[in-house]
Amino acid sequence: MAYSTEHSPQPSRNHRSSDPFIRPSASQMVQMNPANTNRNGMNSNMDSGAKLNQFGEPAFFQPNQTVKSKFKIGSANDHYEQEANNAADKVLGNGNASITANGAAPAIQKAPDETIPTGPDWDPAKHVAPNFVADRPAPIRSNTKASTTDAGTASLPTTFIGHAAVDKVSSTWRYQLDSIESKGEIAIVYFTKSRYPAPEPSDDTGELTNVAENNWEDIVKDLHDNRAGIPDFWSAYLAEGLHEEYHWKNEWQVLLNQEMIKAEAEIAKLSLGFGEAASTVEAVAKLKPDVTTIFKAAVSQARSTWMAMSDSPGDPPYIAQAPALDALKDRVNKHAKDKKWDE
Amino acid sequence: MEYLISILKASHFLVFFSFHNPDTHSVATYVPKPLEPLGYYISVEVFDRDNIQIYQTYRPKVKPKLDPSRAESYLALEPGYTYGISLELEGFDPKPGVYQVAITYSNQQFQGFDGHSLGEILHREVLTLVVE
Repeated sequence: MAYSTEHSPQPSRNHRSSDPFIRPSASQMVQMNPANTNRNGMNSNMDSGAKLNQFGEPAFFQPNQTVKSKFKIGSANDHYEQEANNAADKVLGNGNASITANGAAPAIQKAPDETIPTGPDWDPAKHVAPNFVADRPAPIRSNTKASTTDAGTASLPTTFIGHAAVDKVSSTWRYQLDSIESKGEIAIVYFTKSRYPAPEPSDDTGELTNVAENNWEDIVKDLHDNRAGIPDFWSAYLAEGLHEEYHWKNEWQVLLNQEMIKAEAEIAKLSLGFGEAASTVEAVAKLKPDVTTIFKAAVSQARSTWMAMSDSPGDPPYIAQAPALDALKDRVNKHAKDKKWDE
Repeated sequence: MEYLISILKASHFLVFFSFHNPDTHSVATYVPKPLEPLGYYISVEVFDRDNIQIYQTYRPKVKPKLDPSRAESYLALEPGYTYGISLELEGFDPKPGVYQVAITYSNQQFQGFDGHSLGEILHREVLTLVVE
């Protein structure tokens, strides 16, 4: 090439001509005046001779308001930018810095940020769905102790596994989540056997041995009146599980999923220049504290929202238990009809 | 109403909480029957000498067996009587040192029944624990 332009020793792929202190690339200058440009991107003035400015540069570097007013900035990585980058690569020997102005030892070196380190590629589209693991201890019986569901605590933690990944587009390290696990516990407490129409087994399918001619109407009324509440006396085994599973699946899992999606987006914004970490191990060490902070905040938010959800008779967790009570009520009704107690 | 709160032992950390109707009172007082699970009605926080929280209980989702609106869910505590519970803090076994143990009681939704409103009860005490 017969002319010289000021190639930065470290040509930036993100070079934007909107920066008033950065000169447009040669190709962009060609773009400035299409009338002088042939389809090969060469300026016809250049072909024809040397119009140099006061700095000895091609004439289009001279201050010229008319030209400035016609200056257009192409979209990022457009044809002209690619061409400029290709030209830069040629000058720099494609990063090998083997070509120098005076033939001396290579003077052009890529900055550490420009060196793509070894590591798995970052996948910005990857989404990790939490894995939910609930401990369900064997049910106990009590007429005062409550069934409980819990998650998102120190003893029932939500944890993540991930790794540092190479984002070649932005030349940075990112943190890629691999998995998320949320532990929970669902502790079922049944009433004593006398409180169930079918006391054994503990799934409401057994014989209705606690149902008699003198109590079946009370049982039906209790099961009906408190289908979405706390029983006066009679209950259904399956109601406990339906209620607690609602907390676990319909509340906690939904809330945590929502917060994790937000957390993933925040984590995806974290980045570390290649020059700031030489390996995946180092990158993880530097990124993980921020990842952990985001993650913990998300779990905490999910738990706060969960605890604020109403859980009184008539609320969704209680409505969720109703089918078990309805089914048992129908069974008792049919039993009474079969025995002709209803006549 | 008075509260008797103590730490029964530091190994397999055992906390004791009870209501106490002083014998100076002339009438019975009603208290909610349910006192567990730990973390729901009674919560515990432990702080080290630098006032950094090193343990806390968490409030689980609870489906009570007793209906808060019914009289049978409350206990009539005669003057001079107590009603309480001992609760173990699973997984907490403090090393030798000085700790502040904050124990809080909340009656949650058990705020009384017809003719006997208790309102919201929130009681917190901080005990100093020395483990040798």
